[in-house]
Amino acid sequence: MSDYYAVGKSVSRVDAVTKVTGAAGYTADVMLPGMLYGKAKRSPHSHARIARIDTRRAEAFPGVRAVITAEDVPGILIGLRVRDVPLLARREVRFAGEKVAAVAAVDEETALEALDLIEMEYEERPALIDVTEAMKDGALLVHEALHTYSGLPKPVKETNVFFHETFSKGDIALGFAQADLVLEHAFTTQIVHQGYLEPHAAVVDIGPDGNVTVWSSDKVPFRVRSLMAEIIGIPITRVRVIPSFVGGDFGGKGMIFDEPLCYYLARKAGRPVKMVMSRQEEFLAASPRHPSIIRLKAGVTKAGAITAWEASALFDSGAYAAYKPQVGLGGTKKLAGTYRIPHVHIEGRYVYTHTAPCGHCRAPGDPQASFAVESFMDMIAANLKLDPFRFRWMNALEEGDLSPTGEPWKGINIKETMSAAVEKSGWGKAKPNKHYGIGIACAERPTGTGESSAVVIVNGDGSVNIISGASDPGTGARTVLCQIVSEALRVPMERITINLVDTDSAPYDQGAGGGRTTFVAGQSAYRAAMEVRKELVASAAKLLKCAPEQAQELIDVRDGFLFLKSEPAKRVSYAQAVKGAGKSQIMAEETFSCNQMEDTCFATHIAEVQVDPERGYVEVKRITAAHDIGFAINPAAAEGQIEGGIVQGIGFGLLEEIQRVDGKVTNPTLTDYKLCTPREAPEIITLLIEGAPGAGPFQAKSIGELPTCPIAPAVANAIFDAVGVRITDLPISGEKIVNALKESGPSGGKAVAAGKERADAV
Amino acid sequence: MKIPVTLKVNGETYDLMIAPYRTLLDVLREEMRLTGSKKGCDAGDCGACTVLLDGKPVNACLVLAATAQDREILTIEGLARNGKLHPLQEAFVKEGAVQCGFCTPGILMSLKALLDTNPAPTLEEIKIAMAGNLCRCTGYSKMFKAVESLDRGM
Repeated sequence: MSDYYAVGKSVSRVDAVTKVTGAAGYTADVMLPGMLYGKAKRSPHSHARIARIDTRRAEAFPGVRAVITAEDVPGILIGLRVRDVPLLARREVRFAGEKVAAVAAVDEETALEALDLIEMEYEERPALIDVTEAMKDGALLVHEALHTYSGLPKPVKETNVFFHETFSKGDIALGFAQADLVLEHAFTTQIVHQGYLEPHAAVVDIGPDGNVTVWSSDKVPFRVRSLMAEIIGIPITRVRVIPSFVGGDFGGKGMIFDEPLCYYLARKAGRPVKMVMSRQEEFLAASPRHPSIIRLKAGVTKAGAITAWEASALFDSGAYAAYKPQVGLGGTKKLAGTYRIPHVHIEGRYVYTHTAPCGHCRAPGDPQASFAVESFMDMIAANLKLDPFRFRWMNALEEGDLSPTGEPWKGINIKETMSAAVEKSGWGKAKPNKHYGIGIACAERPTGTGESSAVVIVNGDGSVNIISGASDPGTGARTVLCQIVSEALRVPMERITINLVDTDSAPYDQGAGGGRTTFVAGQSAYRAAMEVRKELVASAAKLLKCAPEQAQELIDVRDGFLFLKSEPAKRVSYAQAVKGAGKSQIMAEETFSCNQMEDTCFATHIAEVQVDPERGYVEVKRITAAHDIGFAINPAAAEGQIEGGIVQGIGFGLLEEIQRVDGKVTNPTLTDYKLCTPREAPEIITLLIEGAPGAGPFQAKSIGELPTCPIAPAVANAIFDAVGVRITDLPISGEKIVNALKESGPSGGKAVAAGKERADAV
Repeated sequence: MKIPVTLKVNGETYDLMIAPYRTLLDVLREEMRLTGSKKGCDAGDCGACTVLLDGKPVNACLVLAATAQDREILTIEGLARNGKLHPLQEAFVKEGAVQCGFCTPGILMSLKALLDTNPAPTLEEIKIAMAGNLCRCTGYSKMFKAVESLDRGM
């Protein structure tokens, strides 16, 4: 491993200097001559019929250049998979915060003032806020025309449950019959925002020829291009999307938001238009994480073997399903954890309500599932009077096992992550004080799949360009691509350039998401680089007087030079090889596409917490996180993903919640919605477990999403260890801990289930 | 109505005509095109717009530009001098403390203010100095490490 040239090293990011100097341009930084500022008017009601919109006063307001309503935009429904959301609400609003009109004005203040001049008349309707109410037979329908929508795997009618998926293995009835003990519990998780610091932003400019240029904070420029072209009704060649730096994503930057409104405002006003969502709008109407209600039922033997596992999840999808690229969430499949269970049955239901539409959030569905499964594992262990680590270890998957839902996986190494985390943490050691607790949780998540292309060019001077449409919302993906190409061509990193390129200039890339970039974009860049290398070698063979049929074998490369392995002192530079080939540059383009994975990535997190039982305050002291990463192409970047995921996971576990009354958000600010600040950041020990074969270049696996998954349950389990209360409803606020402690009596020693029902032996 | 305001930013003097209600952040970004200071919330919660006003870190979104008349304003664009990065910037690059980069300018300015008065801060002091800055990407760990990596004699 140590003889790698560029990979396996924590090199500085290629964009770090641009970012630390403030020079990096984000979408909101784009300023065009004559540019107008757009703002959207939003519904104050969770559900209402739009009786009347009168825009005349707003249009007459000085400084206003355009006002649009549903009448000014195509009456189509859009979506990443399920197409159910209008560009502007038409006749009906389905959540408080839905856009009903938009204004473009000479400055933001004028646009905001003009919004108040748009007269709206609504007829309020009863709203479905509670997901369990929405599931009932005869419930009001959020979408009456659901059966006409495209993107659903099969048409469904007269229901709010737009998707129901199941996964089964074995015979669940038999599994429960084999159990000595059956336990059951319900868990609930809350709605959280992705928390990216850069709000959604878009700028649209329409050329005199009608061609459209879009700047967008979206992480998938090619998707912006195709959606915009489809909405406008022009070929994709007439839409050019220019990527900016993306100020954080975490799943929330995959759908278009104000881009179409900018276009229709720009068209009406004859000037470019910029729209930037306010932080309040982000909380009202972005695409937050789905809240869930998860029921788990397990059959176990007295010795601690799991015989059966039944899970059902209800995901409140909000008013539209348009914001997620799949109909369901990957997390449903994770509802049986990382364990060897012969009989499994899982159900996931996705339900419309009159609340803000949910979307993808870092490992969509997984942290919800992980919280339920890994909390439940501890509850079962406690019931069996087994150590939580030992109970997991007994049941953990091993090489050769099928996944909990029956898929073959290779390279299962969950136990290696468990051992590593236990060894480096305080597990099994004496507690420093009474209210100190330690908790463990495991999780898995596969590397993402998809399609990417890359062009690698060795220029006439021997320098290298990578042309890739892969986006890097802060993960370090573009640096990793440079490292991969540097390794393949043995060219120093500083001679390689990767720029942000627009959709006219880069080959297609599916975009960041799902932990796919290192794998998919990485493979395309690696393969393109190897093609270029072959051509360089063939050219150098002539100069080095090497037989062409043996050249690929006998010629090696290093530091931008080619040489015979037998005669390393006699070198041909890449520049000479390019010239020798009679070309100005040597270039290759490769497309890589993969839609099926045969392995996954595992992780074990151990949380150590200090709980103040008087106030319920939880201080996360230390997290030990062991991750099965295959190979870390850039260890510092991988650690950065883990550290960030952990702190985000702590927020999910302890602090964050979009609070709502009657479906209306009551805490739409970063004052009232708590992200972890530096003061909540714990000590983090990251352990990169290499060696399992990943599908990425150099056997790398993915790391972007998994770190967020096992944190909340590890912390919940640590809190139980510290003060003996089991909170099964996220977030674990101080109030919930104090109330649970009160319920369990002053000793605090007895387990209390603060969720909807108690663990119950039958 | 617009009023004349003179602002001293990164050692340069700017004579401007601006509406009195405009924030320093908006004036920096839109009038001077100094877009390194970021708008993450426009309410003083996220710290992405942190600049130094007479050496003290402030949220530029909470300062009316007119009240900054004749005061020394330092933004992220003024942190590197003569093409040479400030040691904090170098440490952030080297330690991998930068991810999406949106919070980075504000955090660097908060830390610059800390180091100007306390060249050898403890971890707790670093955390307190950064407490008004949010970062979603990094979990803050590598930022702490970057500050701790600095030569304490600077």
